[in-house]
Amino acid sequence: MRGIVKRFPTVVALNNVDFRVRQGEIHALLGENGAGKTTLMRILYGMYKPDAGEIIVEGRRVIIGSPRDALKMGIGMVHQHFMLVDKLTVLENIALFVEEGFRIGFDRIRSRVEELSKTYGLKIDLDAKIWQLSAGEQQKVEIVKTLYRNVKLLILDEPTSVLTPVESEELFKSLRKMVETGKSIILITHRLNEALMASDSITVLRKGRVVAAEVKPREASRLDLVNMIVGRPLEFRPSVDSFKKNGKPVLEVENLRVLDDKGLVAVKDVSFILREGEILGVAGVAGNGQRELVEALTGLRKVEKGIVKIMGVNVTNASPKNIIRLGVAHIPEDRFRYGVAPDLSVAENMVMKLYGEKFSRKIFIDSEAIRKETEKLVQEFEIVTPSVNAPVSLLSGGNIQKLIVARELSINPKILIASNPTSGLDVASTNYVHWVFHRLREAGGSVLLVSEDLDEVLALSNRILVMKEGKIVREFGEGASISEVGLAMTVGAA
Amino acid sequence: MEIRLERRPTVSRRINISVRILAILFSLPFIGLLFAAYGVNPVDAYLRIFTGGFGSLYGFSETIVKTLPIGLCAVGLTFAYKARVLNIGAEGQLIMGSIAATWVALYSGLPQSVITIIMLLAGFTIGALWALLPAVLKSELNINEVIVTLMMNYISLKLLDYAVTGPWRGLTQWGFPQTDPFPSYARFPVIGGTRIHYYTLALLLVSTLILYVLMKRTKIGYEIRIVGSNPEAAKYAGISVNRNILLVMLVSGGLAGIAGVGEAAGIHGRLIRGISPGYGYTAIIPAWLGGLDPLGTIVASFFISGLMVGSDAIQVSLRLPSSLVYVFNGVILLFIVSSEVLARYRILFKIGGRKIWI
Repeated sequence: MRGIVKRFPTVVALNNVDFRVRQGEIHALLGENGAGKTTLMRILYGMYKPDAGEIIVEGRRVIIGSPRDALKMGIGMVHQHFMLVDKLTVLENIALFVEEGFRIGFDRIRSRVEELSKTYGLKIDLDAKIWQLSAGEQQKVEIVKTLYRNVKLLILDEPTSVLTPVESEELFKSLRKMVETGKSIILITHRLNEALMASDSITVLRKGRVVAAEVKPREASRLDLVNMIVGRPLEFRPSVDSFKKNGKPVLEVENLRVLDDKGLVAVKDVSFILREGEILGVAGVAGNGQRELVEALTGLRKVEKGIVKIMGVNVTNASPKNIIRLGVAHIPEDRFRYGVAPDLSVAENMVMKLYGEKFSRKIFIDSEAIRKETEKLVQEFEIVTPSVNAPVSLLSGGNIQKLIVARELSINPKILIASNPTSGLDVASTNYVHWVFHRLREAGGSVLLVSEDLDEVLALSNRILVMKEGKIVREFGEGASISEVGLAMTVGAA
Repeated sequence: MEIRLERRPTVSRRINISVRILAILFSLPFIGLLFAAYGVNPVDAYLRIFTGGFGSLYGFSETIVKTLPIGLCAVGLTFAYKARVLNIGAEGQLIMGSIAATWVALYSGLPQSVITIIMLLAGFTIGALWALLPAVLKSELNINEVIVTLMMNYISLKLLDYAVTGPWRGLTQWGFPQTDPFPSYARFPVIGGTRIHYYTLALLLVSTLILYVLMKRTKIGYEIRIVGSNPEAAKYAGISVNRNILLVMLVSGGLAGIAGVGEAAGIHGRLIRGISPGYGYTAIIPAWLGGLDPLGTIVASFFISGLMVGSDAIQVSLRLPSSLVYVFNGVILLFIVSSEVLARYRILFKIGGRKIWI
């Protein structure tokens, strides 16, 4: 890709970008939220048209007008949000994507898919329904879909954000097999370790420009990459040293049992205590009851059995409002489902938790105070938005996440329940959020940190609980190693 | 040349209004085809419609007469639609309001001095209660409110038929399906020389203003907008979704009920079969046309009412079938609904190196 320029109504997303991927390599594309990574890849996949510049595939100048064109040229993409039909089986989903004609040759497809799975080590049950699969398995389906179309270049947009450490390792093994057969892979990621360990070459974008092209991972350190991505060194190094032992309990959970959407027991008699001034990590493979646990604690899901106490007050099955009033903030796992009202403005979303207390006089809303507060928070958290009055639906995923984090911290919580708080955030924003968590702990607040990012859990938590199949299977103190915790996540109690 | 849709960075009031006006203008040629099919010159027909609805003092006052029920229903509907509660039952709620007013006027035996105020209160209450059932079914059992409100329109229609052909049939009405006239103290006064019953007019203006302020400036309006945009986010923020569903349904049903009181006590002076020629359905158009904003909706209601009065006029003068009015309204609604996308997106024309945005 040469001299690519893409302008959006308010910003220049890509400014004269040159980007080159060689055949048979895994090429990592790094950059902050809004640096232009996704935009560049969407241009390559035919979803956007560039305002200037040219794309050259295997020596020929091409125009890619649509994803259909891209696929014909052997370019495939796996998006962050999977494009699968929940109620259909894996095989049906693949057929939907690959079959052009009227009749569907299921047997033919099945044998071809089985062959592909074997070659690249992507094992999937073809007759399972999509909703029965974990995120990692769904991702395999997406990858097989593109392989079936004989792609030569595969674009993966933050593939490991939904994976466990073990699944990530498997993924990289499969990717390695693909490049060995001559395919090329572009890996968009926020995780520097992945770029350093798994890629052959790294390109870094910052604010729509290339700041480093085709860096060899052997020649760069983690710190070098941070400097390239952020343009300055990071201020905060996470640590767990400021913990006051034996603080008084702020959240007590006893024998909690919660059902999932299908009515099955998702949380099985879980008990734990969160203390004042503590960050308690909950690690676990996604789908092992973490979501249900968090929703039960925040009043969004019914508690079947057991007791939840916050600040000594029994809040079992209390309304979200009462739980919020006790000073509980919540960064939800699914930011689009719970986190924001997309048609409302940034300012209106920013005060969703406090409008009743801080930003109203009697029945009236104080728009002026809301605007001021929002402008302050937008600046502090570096949220990129056309204005505080723009609807949230115009913001990128990372900026929506920043908005949610900013809002939840602005209520000065005593307890913060955070599910994957930094998912989709870039290095600098993640660092900032970690620093804010740390500051909250210094001030005597407590954090229940539910995260699939083991590095994050390990770096911040005073104690770590490991959840598997709805139960807490292990507890670790400070200084646990990543391999210990990772092992507990997959095999359970030692 | 290249044409593309791009998201607008901001959606201003000016764009919202101009897109809707454009939609109406673009719909005219299509309706013109229909006129032409009847052998009528479309331009002539439009001129007659316009002068019929807005061109004379009489036409103007008749337009206001129709704006009263349509506006009351429409303003209430904006409230419900903002919360994404799709109340299609304004027609039934209006009819129930008129039935309640009739009972108070003819059978309650209340003192003359309080009768009008009681009629209005009864109309509001019954209209609200009529909307309460679908609201409770939606909030408690998640039953689709579109179906329930629609079906309840038919129930109320049959109740009305039963009342005016059965127990309440007027003794002095030579068998016509209508009640005896209300006593004069139970009728709403009108502005001299017109049929504009000004109690209802005052209520329309006041409720529009209240709903406007409520929606834009208060906690209640803010909660309703969050519920409408993302009910899950509302729950997460500690807002009771069910309470807001009940509230918007009660208010929209109540206002439709008042429209019914106005029709019975202000226009007909009695309860008649077919007391509403579909005002409750027609009101859906100005609610969307006004962008779910009470002030815009009042303007849109006035405009739609003028079209109706004007169409009545050409029906007589050009001998066109009356159902053409409904086709007319339908086409306009279609254009407005499809133009919504242009309020949020703009079209980019690229001709040579030049770019033109619309």
